[in-house]
Amino acid sequence: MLTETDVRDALHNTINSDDVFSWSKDFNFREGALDSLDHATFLLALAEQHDFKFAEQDMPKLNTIQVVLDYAAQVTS
Amino acid sequence: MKEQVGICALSAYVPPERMSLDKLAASFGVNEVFLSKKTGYRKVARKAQEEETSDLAKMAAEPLFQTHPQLRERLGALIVVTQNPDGYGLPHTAAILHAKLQLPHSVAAFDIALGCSGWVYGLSVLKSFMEANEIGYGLLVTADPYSKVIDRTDKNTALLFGDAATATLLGTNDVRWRMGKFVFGTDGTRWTYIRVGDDRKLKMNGIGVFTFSATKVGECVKSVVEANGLSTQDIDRVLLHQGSRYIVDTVGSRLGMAGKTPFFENDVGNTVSSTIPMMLCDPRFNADRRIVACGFGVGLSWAATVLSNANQGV
Repeated sequence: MLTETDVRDALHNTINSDDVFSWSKDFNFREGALDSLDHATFLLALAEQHDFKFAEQDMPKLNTIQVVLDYAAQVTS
Repeated sequence: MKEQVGICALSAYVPPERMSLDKLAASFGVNEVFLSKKTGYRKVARKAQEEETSDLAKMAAEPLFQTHPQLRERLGALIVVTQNPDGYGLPHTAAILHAKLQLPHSVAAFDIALGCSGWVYGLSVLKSFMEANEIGYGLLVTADPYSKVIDRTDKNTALLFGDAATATLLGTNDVRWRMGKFVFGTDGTRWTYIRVGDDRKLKMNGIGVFTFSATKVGECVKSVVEANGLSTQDIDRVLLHQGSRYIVDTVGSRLGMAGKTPFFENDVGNTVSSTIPMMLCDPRFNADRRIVACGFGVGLSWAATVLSNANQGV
């Protein structure tokens, strides 16, 4: 089960910034914090390390911690 | 036992004109950090307006005829890898290049329509063709000037691609690199990811290509190493198609071979099927014993082989 800590750690590993630990769960990290390549790298890392499966066409909407957690819960349920 | 065909020599041609990307990047809201860390290119090479694909190809091939004075008479096959041929693609660019190089009628000349995986596919095709038909020397040329189809208003492609050409001489004498087994693959369900549209402009799904590269290319490299009965410890270098710095770094990191997957610093750009042979022209790799060459892109397609240095006794 993917946790908030897992998501924040993956974001931190991708952009190497402690800011990720202070973002709200609804902060849209695609608005200035992660560019499109960072975003894809973050999702691939989650997929590889936590058995998180996502459809390629869903990538653009996976842009907040909460959305990622909800998506993961929906996919695994 | 028949001698196996290998790589004897390589040469490359880069047109002298450079286009700086800084201003163009700024117009897209892209900063210098993105250019240097993500695409990896601050300038790209541009052919002259009147220069044709076969002109680039000729410039790449000519040095090999100078270093191998008998080549014109001994050459048996000529392949051009391109998806941006002369004119409208009929006739094939290899025939036009055949004329420009003043080659004899005995030379078989044909094109292969592949993108960034094309050089590796071409090696296998030409090697097999030469061995099947007992041809002594063959020439594999890559020339795919994307400036013919670049949309300067498209951030996904305008900051990446440069023009260049390479020529790789294959033969059985004075072999520098022996070719091992190859692996190939295609995912035709993603053919739309890199394509030329009805407006004759290049379209690329950049994130789709990145996701494909990050996941599939590592598998391809591991497969070819295993197919050749080797482990990654036996490999000195992995020459990946230089799609962008970020792709090369990501694939290297995910493979656990980051120190072995160089990004070729240059002001030329992503030159499609020419990126791997351009790197192999560089003398810094002469001491390597075994190199994996892995091309991937349009199709989407991928191909890899292991090159063993004949001068290093492997």
